[in-house]
Amino acid sequence: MEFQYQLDDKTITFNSEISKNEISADVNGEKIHFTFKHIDPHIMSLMNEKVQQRIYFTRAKDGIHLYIEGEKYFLKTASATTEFASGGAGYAGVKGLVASPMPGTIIKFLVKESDVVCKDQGLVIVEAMKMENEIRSTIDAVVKKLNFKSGDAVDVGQPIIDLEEIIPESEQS
Amino acid sequence: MSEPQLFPKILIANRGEIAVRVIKTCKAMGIPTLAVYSEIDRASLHVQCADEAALIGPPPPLESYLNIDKIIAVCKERGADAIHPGYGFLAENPQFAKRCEDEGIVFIGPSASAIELLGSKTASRKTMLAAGIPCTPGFEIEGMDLAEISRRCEEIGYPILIKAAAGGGGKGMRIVKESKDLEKSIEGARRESKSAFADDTVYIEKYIEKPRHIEFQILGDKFGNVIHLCERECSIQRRHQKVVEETPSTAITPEIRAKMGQTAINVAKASGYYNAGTVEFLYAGEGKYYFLEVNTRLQVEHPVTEEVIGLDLVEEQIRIAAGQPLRYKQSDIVQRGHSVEVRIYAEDPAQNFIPSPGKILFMKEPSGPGIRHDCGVYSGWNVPTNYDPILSKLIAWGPDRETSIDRLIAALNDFPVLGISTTVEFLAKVLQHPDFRSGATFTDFIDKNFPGGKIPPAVPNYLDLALIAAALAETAAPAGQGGGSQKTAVFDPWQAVGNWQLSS
Repeated sequence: MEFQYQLDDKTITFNSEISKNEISADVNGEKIHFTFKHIDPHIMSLMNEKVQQRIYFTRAKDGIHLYIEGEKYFLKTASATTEFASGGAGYAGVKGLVASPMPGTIIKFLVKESDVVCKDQGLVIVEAMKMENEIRSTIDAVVKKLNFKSGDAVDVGQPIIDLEEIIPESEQS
Repeated sequence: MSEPQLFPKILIANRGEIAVRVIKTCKAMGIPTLAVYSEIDRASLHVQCADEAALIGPPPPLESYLNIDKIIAVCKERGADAIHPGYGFLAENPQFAKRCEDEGIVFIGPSASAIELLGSKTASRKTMLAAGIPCTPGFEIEGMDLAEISRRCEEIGYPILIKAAAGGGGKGMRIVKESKDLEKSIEGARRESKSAFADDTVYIEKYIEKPRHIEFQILGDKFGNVIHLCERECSIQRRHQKVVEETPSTAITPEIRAKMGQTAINVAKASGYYNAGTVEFLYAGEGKYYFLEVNTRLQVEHPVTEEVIGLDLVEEQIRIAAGQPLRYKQSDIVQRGHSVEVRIYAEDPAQNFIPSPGKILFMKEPSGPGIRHDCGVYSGWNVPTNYDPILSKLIAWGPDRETSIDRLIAALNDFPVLGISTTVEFLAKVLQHPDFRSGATFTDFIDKNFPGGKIPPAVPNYLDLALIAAALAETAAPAGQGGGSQKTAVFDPWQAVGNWQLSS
């Protein structure tokens, strides 16, 4: 069977054979082999002649969280939805999409419909855990629609403002 | 327990890890507990641990955990006659302490008047100066001419710090290293202060380079007896929030400890303090220290003191509040070994410590020799957005500093919390940094070594294993409890994710 996962921005593909309690795989040019045992829905133990490794894991909507010896991994599965790169800097990660990186409450809008905004301009302030985050535009655009109002709760990834990108005439095909 | 119950019931006016921790001591002492919770905290751990629980309001703190009327009403309705305020929320609110006093409810903490006095930096500084307690040398400059200001600065000794009276955040602040820069620095500070706060009032303090924050735990009874339980060093901070705490401090000798401890006792006596409290000092090195402030509550980092002294501070608080005299003399207080604590927050260090609320899909608490975990959450708990993001505290004790740090690092490397971001991995890196190991812990540690929360890019050591484990997770999940003929059950990802709700 072929498997494909995404780690950050790298896509990794590998082949693997899985039987009742054994797995063989060809990963990064190396052949590896383990017997495995599921300990409970979130713990498995992999073992071969050289090593025993306990791995914690849980499945999420768009990938698998894993924890091995103090290191966290999030492997996105092929059908992952759009990732929002917003972080502490409050930038919307996907072109034209203005969304909150965490669930919170809208404190106030800094723009209104039909305003022209430029890259890096602040669009809306979202509050969560007593912290305020200003979400800024990553493109030059026109504000088409505010999808919420002040005081509304928003979830991760929900489009808060619809923007229409302004493409300079020189770049229009 | 051979002694009669000290209180028929204690109400814990708090939530999360501290509420759980207080409840545990009450259980050991045989005292029934009453938890209070907001609507979003019905399933929280502190509610599950208590003997009874009362709903006190909707999620916002002002309407629940800060709602004095509601808490007092619930306390009386349910027959609790004492309240433990934990830390934060109402713990240092003199109106709340006074209200308890007025209603005949025992407030497990200091008197309302001590809270009020010590809650004001200017009032407490005045009290301490009058009592001969060393304070950061400083003075107000209004009405002085440059010659006099200059003379006073020479007295204090350069470098000095010019600070804005009307606000903080570094605005209106100037460090002056030599007298020749004094005049223009004062002018510059005034201009900046005026533009930031519409007030150009500035004052001057001695500037302490590479200061260490060393605080002393004090315990006083209602009969005037006060002892100190030695120090804690909280020198790794981020945005003035404590990140790592330990005891004993690597910076002070037994002689300095005895001196500072006595000063802490004098501070408590000068303010009529009883119950548990913490006296904070700025330590400038070479035995020089200055009073900063008193925290009139049980602090977040109290467990490290408990581990090396061998006392339960919450138990002592309850006994003192019940009118018992202190059970220990100063000579009974001996530090043994070393203890270090880290706070675990629901934050993403890689994104500048942005809060990371949401559902904890899976977690497993660390354990082992010398490991203590004061935890307020559990696998499946949905961390809300309304409150401080502290999840737990992880504490290690060892016979020496090296061992306690080794144990804490090992515990941090076996502490999966999946579904949200936490500071677990970041803390493991902090503790492994050579500057931390050597005790070179000054308040700029994180900014210097981990600017913006960035951990040096890790070479993923276990990527191959992660990949095949993921493949196994997707295709070969364990059989369900119902047994049956299927060797492998179909693993439903929506089960793992739980109740996803889009906010309206």
